[in-house]
Amino acid sequence: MNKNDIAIKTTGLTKRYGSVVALDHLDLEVHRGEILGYLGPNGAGKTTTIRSILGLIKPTSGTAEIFGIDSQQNKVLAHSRLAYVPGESIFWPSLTGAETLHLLGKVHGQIDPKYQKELIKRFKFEANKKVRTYSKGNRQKINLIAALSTRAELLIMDEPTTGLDPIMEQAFKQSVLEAQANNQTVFLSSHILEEAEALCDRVAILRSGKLVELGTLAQMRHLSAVSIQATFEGVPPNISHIQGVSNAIVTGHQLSCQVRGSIEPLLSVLSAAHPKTLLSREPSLEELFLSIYGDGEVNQQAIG
Amino acid sequence: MSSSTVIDKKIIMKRFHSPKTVIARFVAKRTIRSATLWALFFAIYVASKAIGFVDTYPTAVARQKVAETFSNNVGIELMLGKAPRSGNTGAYVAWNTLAVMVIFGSIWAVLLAAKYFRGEEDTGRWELMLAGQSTARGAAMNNLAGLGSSLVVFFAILAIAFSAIGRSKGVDFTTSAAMFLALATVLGIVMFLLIGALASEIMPTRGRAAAVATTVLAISFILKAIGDVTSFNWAINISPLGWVENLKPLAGSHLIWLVPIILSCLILAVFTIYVAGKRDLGAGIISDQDSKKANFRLLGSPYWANLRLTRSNITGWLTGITVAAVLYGLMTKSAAQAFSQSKGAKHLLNSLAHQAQHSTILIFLGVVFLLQMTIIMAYVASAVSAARREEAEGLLDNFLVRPYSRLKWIGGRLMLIILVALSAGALTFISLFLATAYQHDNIATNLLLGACVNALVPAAITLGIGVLAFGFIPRMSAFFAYGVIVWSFLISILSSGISINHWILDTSVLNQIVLAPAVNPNWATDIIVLLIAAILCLIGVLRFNRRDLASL
Ligand SMILES: Nc1ncnc2c1ncn2[C@@H]1O[C@H](COP(=O)(O)OP(=O)(O)O)[C@@H](O)[C@H]1O
Ligand SMILES: [Mg+2]
Repeated sequence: MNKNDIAIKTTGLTKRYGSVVALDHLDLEVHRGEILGYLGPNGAGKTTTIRSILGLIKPTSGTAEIFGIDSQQNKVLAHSRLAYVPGESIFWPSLTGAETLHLLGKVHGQIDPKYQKELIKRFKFEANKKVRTYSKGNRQKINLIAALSTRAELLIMDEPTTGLDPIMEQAFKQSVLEAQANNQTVFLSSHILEEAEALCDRVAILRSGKLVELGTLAQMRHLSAVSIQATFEGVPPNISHIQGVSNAIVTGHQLSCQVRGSIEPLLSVLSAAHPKTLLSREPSLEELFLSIYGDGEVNQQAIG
Repeated sequence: MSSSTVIDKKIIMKRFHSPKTVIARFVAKRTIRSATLWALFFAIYVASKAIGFVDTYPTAVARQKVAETFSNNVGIELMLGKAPRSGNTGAYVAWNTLAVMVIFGSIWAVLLAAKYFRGEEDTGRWELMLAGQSTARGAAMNNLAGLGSSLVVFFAILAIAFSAIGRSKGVDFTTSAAMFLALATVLGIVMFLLIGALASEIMPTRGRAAAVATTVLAISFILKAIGDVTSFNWAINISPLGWVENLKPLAGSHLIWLVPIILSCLILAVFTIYVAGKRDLGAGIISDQDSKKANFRLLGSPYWANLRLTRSNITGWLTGITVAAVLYGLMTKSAAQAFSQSKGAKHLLNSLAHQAQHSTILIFLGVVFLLQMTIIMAYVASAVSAARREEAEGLLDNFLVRPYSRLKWIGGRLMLIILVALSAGALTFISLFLATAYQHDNIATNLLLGACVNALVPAAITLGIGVLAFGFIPRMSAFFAYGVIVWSFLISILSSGISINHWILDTSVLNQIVLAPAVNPNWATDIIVLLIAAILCLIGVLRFNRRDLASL
């Protein structure tokens, strides 16, 4: 692939804070034009990754490139190709929203003013109030509008919908899809799985600083577990010892769990207990998450 | 793991005792340490003065003689107030230390008040506490109680220390006199703590609250100075710092001046609590408009934006510096006349400028430049801290995630700081030049100009050390930038009482910089200090360019 077709490329990217390894040898490529979901629970290292890529922090080792430009050595050039939305928006309290957008646009160098107006409308943003009066969600809108209206080739977003209400999340999704239609690339860090499920072509899953999964949603489903739900007349059978079973939850007469690999051993135990209903389906991303992060933690909970 | 967890239906809540005073205890706990440190420092300071005085002037005759000398040094009186006429050790010690303790203590108290009455709120922490239990008024009372209890500890330490000093050989003042000195110190500080508290309730942000309260402190200082060295003696009686001076602890103890002090404390406290209940959280009584038409002037780049966002702050500093220079300038004639008429003029023995040709006006101006120098250093320290705060709060990210380099940002910052410092020097020069020319003081222009340039050197080293800290230990930037000032003063103040190793003395910038125009500036030293400052800046900038951005 041409260098220009790889929007982000990290090689062995590592960041340590003392003894804490916040990011551990990350090798990742984001292709031009795709929406890549970057998922992981709090503290997984998503923000650390993004801040290293942006050159705000210095990686302990490894490199990051934006369209082939080393982003540590040549920050200004790399930044001219991208726009970034942080998870927490902090602005100057005495400026109004419009003034802030103007300043941010000037610093970026170019914006699409018509599109910016459209975005202000879409996000129902009241631009003539001072930043000090804005809620968290309103401040977040400034960063979203500022980034989207640059029409930069690459959008890097770190949990961008924090503080937005559901209607605004809808507007956000629309805007991201528009960006993709405009041949922009989107790197979307998130812990909201539904958001990633709706938008992303591929997802990368990070856990304790390590990349644990990377692929399309279809591939991930194939790799991972099947969800099973069953109800019984009496007490559900104990299944926690069965090979491949995880996240077993018993609520009254109902049992739900996930199973990886062969489902035969589980089915035989379940059918021996005469289930009233039995439901199996592909897991949602939420459940995928649990099956990955649930390992070694609590597998079965009884609530009674 | 395949254990079953059973959640118990019984819910056990943790209860915190007496939620009504939770903020007070929180504030007290967080401020008691700095109160203790300041009190201990003041105790050492007073002890060093007392012991130094007794050692240097062992006989009553010598003390009487030196008292006459001091009572005729207009530069020292400008800073410390009217010197006592008698050679009594207690009177000398109290005169020499009270103003310094009250001024330093008040700056500390103002910053503390702004922090607890405003800062916690600015960062949203207060809302959490208020949502829990208290009302805004209750919170203000809690805050006052918390800060008050720290000051009680402060008073106790001073009272004990001063009593001990009074008992030591040769010093000899009574326990009740010692308690009165401690009381005068603490009450002066409490007054400004309350001014800081009220300003915090009225002004919309923490920075502006601190600025307003510091301005009140500066005005009271200037009024008191006018009263002390000119014939406008009444000016002392309308200045809060003047009231404290009028108490004259250990030299007559004029208790009557407790009345305006205590009365204003009560009024300030009541107003603070009243105003706290009157306003919305985070709004301040004087609030800005929340909604207005966009004004894109000075928003074309981070550099201009910084100028726009700090212009009122810069204007404040420059106005303060100019007003101070004009007032001091207008005092020169009257101060010189008062001096030449005194019979002790011939005995003049000035420890600050002994190698000088003793033209009184020049000595007076030397002290004026020392004060201006300090204000400019304080501006630089505050500007370095502001740059660091911008990084800590995440505002800097807004520029650096865009195509804008770190070097450009810090370069712009430094350029503005240097420009403001140079303007401060220029305004000082112009004000003093006009004021002295108006009174026909006949000060050579080049002397004044030289003194102005000389007065900017300590600001340069403050910047150098501040930027170096910003590069290597960003969280300590403010500590080091202000530390240069505090350290230099500590050394100068202590060295006037006790002897200090010359290596330590040399670390004080003020020890390197002579009091021009009383003494000819030592240009070689000035150039070396400037070079060091430039190198420190450069190293700090290069380090900042490569380091991690660091949040709070
Ligand atoms: N400045 C820092 N100092 C020390 N540890 C840090 C720092 N920043 C992040 N960490 C640690 O690095 C890990 C990853 O954090 P982060 O990247 O913020 O996670 P995420 O964005 O996925 O929630 C966490 O364990 C966090 O505690
Ligand atoms: Mg994060």
